[in-house]
Amino acid sequence: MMKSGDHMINVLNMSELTKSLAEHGALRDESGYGVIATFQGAEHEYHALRNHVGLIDLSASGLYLISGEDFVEFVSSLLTKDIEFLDIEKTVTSLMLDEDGQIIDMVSVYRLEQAILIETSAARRDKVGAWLAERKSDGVEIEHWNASRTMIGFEGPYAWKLAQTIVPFDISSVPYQAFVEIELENEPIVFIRSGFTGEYGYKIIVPHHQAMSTWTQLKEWGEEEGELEIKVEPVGLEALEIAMLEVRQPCAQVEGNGLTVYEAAVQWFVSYHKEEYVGYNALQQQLQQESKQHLVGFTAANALSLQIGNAVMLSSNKVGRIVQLVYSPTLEKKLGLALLDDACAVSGIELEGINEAGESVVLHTVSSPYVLPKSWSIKMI
Amino acid sequence: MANDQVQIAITGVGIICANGQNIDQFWRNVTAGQSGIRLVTTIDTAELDAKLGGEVDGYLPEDYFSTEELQHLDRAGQFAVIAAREAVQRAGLDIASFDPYRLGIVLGTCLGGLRSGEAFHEQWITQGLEHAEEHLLMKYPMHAPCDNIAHDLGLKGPRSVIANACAAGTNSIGYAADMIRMGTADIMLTGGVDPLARLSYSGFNSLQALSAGACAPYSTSAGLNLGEGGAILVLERMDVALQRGATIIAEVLSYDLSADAYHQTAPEPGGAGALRSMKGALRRSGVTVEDVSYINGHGTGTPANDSSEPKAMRALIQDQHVPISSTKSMVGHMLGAAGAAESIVSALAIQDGYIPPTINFNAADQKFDLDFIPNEGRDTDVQVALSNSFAFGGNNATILLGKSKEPSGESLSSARKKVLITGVGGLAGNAATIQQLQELIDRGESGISPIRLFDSNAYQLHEAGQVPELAYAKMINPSLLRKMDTISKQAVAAVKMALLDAGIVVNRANQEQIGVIFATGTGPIETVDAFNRAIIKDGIKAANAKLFPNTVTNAPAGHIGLNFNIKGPTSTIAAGGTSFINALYYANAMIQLGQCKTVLVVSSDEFNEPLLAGYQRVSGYLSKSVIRPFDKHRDGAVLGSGSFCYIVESEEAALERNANVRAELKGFGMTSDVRLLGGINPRGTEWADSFRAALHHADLSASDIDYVAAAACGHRIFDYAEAHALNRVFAGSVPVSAPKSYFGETHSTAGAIGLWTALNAMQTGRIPATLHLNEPLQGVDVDFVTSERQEATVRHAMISSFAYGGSYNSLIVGRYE
Amino acid sequence: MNTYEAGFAQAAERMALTSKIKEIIVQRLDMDIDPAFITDDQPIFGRGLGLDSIDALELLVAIEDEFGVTIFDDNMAVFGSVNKVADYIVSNTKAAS
Repeated sequence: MMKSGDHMINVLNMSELTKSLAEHGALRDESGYGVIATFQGAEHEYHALRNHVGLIDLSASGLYLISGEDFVEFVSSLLTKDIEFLDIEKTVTSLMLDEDGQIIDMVSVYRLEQAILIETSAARRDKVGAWLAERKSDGVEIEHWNASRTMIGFEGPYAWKLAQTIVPFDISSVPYQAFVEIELENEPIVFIRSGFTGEYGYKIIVPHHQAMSTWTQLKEWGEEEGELEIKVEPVGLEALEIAMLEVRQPCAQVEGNGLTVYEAAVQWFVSYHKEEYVGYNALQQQLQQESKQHLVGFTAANALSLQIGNAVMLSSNKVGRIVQLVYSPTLEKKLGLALLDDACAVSGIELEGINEAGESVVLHTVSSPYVLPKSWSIKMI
Repeated sequence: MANDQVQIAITGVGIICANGQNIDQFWRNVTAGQSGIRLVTTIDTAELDAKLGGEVDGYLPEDYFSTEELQHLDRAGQFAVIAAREAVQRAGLDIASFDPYRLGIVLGTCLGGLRSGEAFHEQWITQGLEHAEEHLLMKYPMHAPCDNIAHDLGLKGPRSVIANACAAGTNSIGYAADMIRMGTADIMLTGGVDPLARLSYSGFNSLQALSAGACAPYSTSAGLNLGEGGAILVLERMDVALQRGATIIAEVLSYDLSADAYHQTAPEPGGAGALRSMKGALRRSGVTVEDVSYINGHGTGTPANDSSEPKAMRALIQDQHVPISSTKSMVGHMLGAAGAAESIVSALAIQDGYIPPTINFNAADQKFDLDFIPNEGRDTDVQVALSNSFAFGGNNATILLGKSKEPSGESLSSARKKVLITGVGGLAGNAATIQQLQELIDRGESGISPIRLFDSNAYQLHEAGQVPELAYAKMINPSLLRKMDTISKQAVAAVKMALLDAGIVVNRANQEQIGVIFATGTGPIETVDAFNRAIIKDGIKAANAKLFPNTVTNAPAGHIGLNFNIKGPTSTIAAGGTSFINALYYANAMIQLGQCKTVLVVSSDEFNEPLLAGYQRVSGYLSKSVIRPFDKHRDGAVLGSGSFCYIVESEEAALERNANVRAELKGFGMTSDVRLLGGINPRGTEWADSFRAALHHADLSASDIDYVAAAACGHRIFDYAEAHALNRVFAGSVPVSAPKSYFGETHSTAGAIGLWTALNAMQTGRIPATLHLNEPLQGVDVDFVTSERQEATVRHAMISSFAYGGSYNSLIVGRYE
Repeated sequence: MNTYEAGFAQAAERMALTSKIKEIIVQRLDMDIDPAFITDDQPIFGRGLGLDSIDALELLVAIEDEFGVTIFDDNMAVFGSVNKVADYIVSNTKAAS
């Protein structure tokens, strides 16, 4: 992690929104794209996500609009999820695999009337772009929406109240995983109900020139809710990743980082009966392999240090390794993912992590979601 | 539309429900906030937490009916007739002084004769089929209570049953008003009826929708209380009412329907569908929201309704102050009768200038800043009242009633739009598509096959028209598919084929303008059987929450909405064998009256073991071998399954999109007899009159008809009656064929199959042979198309249909020229 | 600390429970997939398995039938994942015995 400075700003590819926000935060390099890692500190921002509303700059996420007469067939051929029955104004999350069955990215797919919009992670944006260009046929057109549009997200138990200030109808009319094309300040925008943290989550896609004013407008909103004064806080990637892991929301840089679909336990982004897509055969072979491993969540209360890559043991036998590790402010513990042998890859058992110093740290495998989002007990009115 | 301006007067009302067994008692209690919710005694609720309900208390059928009458009336039938008699009496209507064909009925119901069905089912399962009583089956159909009223009062005009669950009462009043506006009748009885039933208690309990205490709509909202009863209104064309000096209680200004296309049971959380039906009703009457003085809400008291409906109300009235109450707080949720009871409340509020309260209102739990008339009613001049009813399947209905105004002098307009058929899809018997159906008929080959769905050894018949197992997984979204039963899957498959055939793509621009009318003869028997079987065996708590939503007759309509994102006016008709043609009539009315431009008319009927068992118990009904319509040696019907969808459009809409027009709807004839539950008039008198009425409506004479698709099913009496009716009207001049000889008795869907043979005959000149018709029944002069098919030029064709209980719907179609 | 064998035995017992839960879900809700295709930690509602409130009511009944454990409808957090359902069954079975 680096502090923002002229050097990074010059090197990294950034939207105008990110450039102006970078002055107030620390940047992270996501495959050449600058993403704000933290504004005021991850724990403070995390608190906003879980208790108020967190405002997220998603302008680095790739947005590719696929149109042309074969757009449905083309997109479908690259996705593990069936989109044949994906209705207009609905979205679905899918994996995009290469021919070896390796995860290129986890993408959100938005069905418009005459096109499909694909949202990538920032880190895999160029990779997906290149993949789309490589596979593209004559009947398909690809428009890089990032050239003209900025995506902003906001999530939290009261995000729906903020969302209500944007849509001209009752906010509860937008179901989870749906979106609408509406106008904001006389400009066409896309308003999406979908998020990362298990809280009420929304994303909006606005024209570049409107990005900063929208950001400011969202940030300045606030409301009294009984004793609580609801606030909107800018949130960086670091806090977001903690909240994502807490609800086992996969992240391309962890689950898609050299793991197979089975190892990452992301089969739920694959349609069981779908056969016609790139990577299908390789995926079937992966799934049929014997003696496999897959990811399981764990917590560690011990103050001893622990790192990604540390071995995980069961009674002195190595059964896996740590692939992700964060501190969960809600659990007040370290929370991580370990890639474990299938035979012990379950929740509810005790294992050991061996740190760099050779010390043993007690790990407990746990059940997802590791933290219950507050939104689950708050009803939209 | 000129006809929309034709004034409809409410001249009589009648009711029997938990807090009143006549109008005077009911209105006294409703205005005083007096509840009728109490411990129920007619349903065993021992195992349930929810033991309360709006039961009709201290009720003795013998006070109202003779022993002879009671043989034909179950609890629903009794409530229906009691309320209807009161409504007619209060209207001061002397039915005998009118042409009985000008008096009709549309009744809303969710359960129909289910109490009889439950009794039969229990006898069958616990004692064996041979010990189950046949008379219960006669009272079981959805249309039995409607037939009971018509028979009791002598109504021989159009007869229909609206079955979109909890919206049925409101929808039926709107449909009845449409029939008057269309000139089909002068006076209509309408409303709704439903009894308390074990199915509703166990089903709503499984959805955790019942409140253990008295329901508290719009405040505590911990669940609903079920209610029961009958609520009937007399509607008249204003000039008819005025001419006979009737007292006008209020007017039906307009109504509208919509579909959420959101969820099988839960309302759209933001109330978008509810708002559309409310706005639609205002738009159709030209009344503005500022004119609305009172809203009688759906207000069931469930958390889901009470959080979505107020949002829709707020969006409708904006910052205006409009008092709102839920009278379900006093009588419970009367399901298909609820909307009718609430229209009566609204009409009386207009007449009396008094609006009743929402009782059990707990201000501390109130979530919306609206005036819910808490606990005490008040004097208010009511010019316009709006009443909502929302149902499973996301089917919404709103009706507007108004204080009677000076007659506008608007009379029925004779100008008619052309209404066209622009697409068709279907399956029946061995044919999985229209193409297969055509090939089968052209080859003169039966679509009936040996029963493979279950072991038929215990039954007298071993063949049926069974549709092939379709590759539904390729046709239907898997997340929707697993929630659908057979009748729904078949219906959705037919719709998919019809939309493709018509070249219609549903999108945001048209989804709210496309209507759906679902028709069925027997309804979701497979699901009702499975659901009830568990309860009979393991008790009222054994209900399956997954099955319950599909036990309502309009579930397929809901699934159609969900599958295709269709949100326009949506209704369901369950009038027996006439349902499909009746639904086409309704579609025609919707288009003529400007409610929408495109309607999908869908019919679906199943075949399964409970149906075979039930029909076997009806003496003389089932054949022992093959179906031989009109044959001298016919010995009964063979059952079949099938689904069809027709796309019906206004000429304007069809031309606009350059549609391939298959035919024009030319005329409808709807009559009924008043003879016997489960039977018909063997002389065919009223059936013949339905042919004449259709000819009259089409402005054609008998000699203009080139082909008749008959309803004959091989039954000794039914075929005889139809043959005599054909003889009387057409006297051997028109070729008559019986398509049921190919696919068996498919109830409502038979009308759709008949229509398809007519379209095919118009296009190809081929009139299908009637299979197994070797020796036509004697003593009638009818040109039966026997085992050889005929070639002819067909410009106009007639399709005949009937329902047990004695109603007849005939349709004439012609080439579009 | 567990012995090696005891640890695997405990894991095997847990897998048997989660597998049974998956089978019940697939069977009772008419899902057309292999139960083993469901992962232990994916969400059951929403985009995870696509279940809705009515499915949840059916699952409440199924779990009571199969495991004799009652889940109250105001405790929908139990349906966070197959693992959460398993945790609930384990802790409530222990409590009862």
